[in-house]
Amino acid sequence: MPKTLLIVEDEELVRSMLRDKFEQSGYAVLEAEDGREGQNLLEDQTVDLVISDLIMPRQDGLELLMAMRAEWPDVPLIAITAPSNQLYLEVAGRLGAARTFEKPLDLKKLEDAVIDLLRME
Amino acid sequence: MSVVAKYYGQSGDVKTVHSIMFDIETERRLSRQAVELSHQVGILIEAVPMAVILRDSAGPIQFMNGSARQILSLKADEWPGQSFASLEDLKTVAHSTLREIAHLDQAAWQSRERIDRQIFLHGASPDKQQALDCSWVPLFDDSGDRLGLVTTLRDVTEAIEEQRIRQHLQETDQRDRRMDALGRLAEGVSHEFENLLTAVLGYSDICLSRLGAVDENTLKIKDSLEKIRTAAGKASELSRSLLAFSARKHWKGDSCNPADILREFAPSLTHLAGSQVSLETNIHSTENSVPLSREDLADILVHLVSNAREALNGRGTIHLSGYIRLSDQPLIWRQHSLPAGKYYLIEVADDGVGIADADLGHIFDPFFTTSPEVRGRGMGLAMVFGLVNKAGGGVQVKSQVGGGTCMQVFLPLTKSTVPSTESIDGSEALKILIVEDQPSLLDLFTEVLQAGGHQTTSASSIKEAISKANAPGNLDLLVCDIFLSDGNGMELLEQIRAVQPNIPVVFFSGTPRSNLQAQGICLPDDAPLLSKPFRPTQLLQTIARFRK
Repeated sequence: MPKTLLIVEDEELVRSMLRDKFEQSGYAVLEAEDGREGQNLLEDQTVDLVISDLIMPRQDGLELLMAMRAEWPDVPLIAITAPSNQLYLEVAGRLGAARTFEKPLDLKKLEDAVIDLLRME
Repeated sequence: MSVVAKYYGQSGDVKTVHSIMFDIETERRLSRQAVELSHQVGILIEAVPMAVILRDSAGPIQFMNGSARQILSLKADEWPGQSFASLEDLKTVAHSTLREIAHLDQAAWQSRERIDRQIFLHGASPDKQQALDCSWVPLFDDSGDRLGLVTTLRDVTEAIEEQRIRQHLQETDQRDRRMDALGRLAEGVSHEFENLLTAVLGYSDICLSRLGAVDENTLKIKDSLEKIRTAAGKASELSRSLLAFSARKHWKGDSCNPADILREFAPSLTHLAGSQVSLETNIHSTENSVPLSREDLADILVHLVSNAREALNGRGTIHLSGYIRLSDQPLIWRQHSLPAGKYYLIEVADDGVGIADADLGHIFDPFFTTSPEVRGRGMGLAMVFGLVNKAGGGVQVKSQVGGGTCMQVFLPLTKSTVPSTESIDGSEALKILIVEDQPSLLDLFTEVLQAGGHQTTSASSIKEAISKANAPGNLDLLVCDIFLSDGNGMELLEQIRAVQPNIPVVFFSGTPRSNLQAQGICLPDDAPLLSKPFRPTQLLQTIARFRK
């Protein structure tokens, strides 16, 4: 049974690229456009790890992170964002994000983090 | 007064007596009045806050008042009988100024009219320079012959300096606004760019990993994909440098010892300068730190040395020095100003081609380059400017075409340890009172603001908020819901402002500002109103405005 990743990202190009990347590596991938859609998916399906952008419409990554901490405390979240939003990346780290990455993403490092976190699980 | 004339006859008898009577009282009175008037005019001219000098037609000074003596640095007994030309021997006024005065004398006599001019009076010492508003008034008698020359001088040095500071502040203000607008633009561009570049780089990686068998065609495709990756990487660097220039990259509280970094990087900088350029260093130690990360300071040094190397066309000497500079006066330059204080001054000087005066005001502008053949995008000095600015420092450039360039970077020196009361972006932590009657929201805001490094106090009612905000100084910011169980946010603000008049506030509500007004709740214009539901990132962004 492949592990399931949830990609929460409002930029479609980034979302589909991450899906292609992780599907190629053998993961099952779910996609959400913002935190609220991500939370809905978390409620309906089993998710092993979340990769989430921080600045998004309706519900941002910080709110998703805090909701996950209450509802799905065992699911790790990797926060990603542009360098202009570095502040939020730091806040996400303090609020419990398992890892944080600045865009543009180094896919090798991101994949290593995913493997690492899923192994810990 | 009377005059008596007696005429005697031959016998010696008085024959006739003529007596003439003069009334000299009027004359005496007029004479007294004239002396008095002259005395009063003397006092008046002496008291005029302007230098007045009267010379006769041949040149010697007939009169000068106290202001004139002060401006020309003359004692009361030094001027009588002197001409301006002979003042040169006293060495109180520089030769260049005396020449200018002689020139104006001649011009006034020739034009027979008053001449107004602003001149710079150079004193005996090189640092003494006064700006003077001057008038030359030639006087002629009825027949048109020269009578004398009145010269008035008014010291306007301070007024000019004040005007210069005012203009400088205006320019600084305009520049700050431009930087702020550019910063917002850079943030927006960076955000979008990095998303797109993530896709470009990511898909390149995916394609690279999908390429299987190694044949000639596959190698070519791989090579092309690598080039796409390199180009995307450079685009990302560019967007980051724009962010650095606009000083929007948040400072994370990093600091480093500048002397240590200079010493550590000197060998790499020598290598960067090239084999034909020698890098001479003179580095003074300091116990203190500057508010820049080691990497940022290294970046600054690399850009400055690269620029110097280009100015030298690959051959010559670069002097790199670092020392402590104490300034008891504010430092004011073309680009910006710095308050008095203790700075670490890093100088990178070359004896290369120099920078034209017309370009000096633009060298820190993004994408500005003086030489189209020079590689790079003209972002180096813009980045230096942004990084130094972010650290609370300043950059000054001295240059002369053909005479080399000296870049001076002033970085404020601070104690080595970073205070623990700093928020996550390096500014001082704010003491925030959060007032919200929904417990889940109160917890959320508290947690987000604490994660942002701020100190929070929470309250769920006006009564509780008042009891917690009782002492002035224990609060920097009020974050407050409009509708609370025991009143509204404006009522709370008024009570808190009675004790702390200038306390800033951020309101939030599900009701728009206009509807609040209709309900009689008028929020101050400077108070941001966050519309519920709002995202934690929005709250942090709004709070960032009130950073100390």
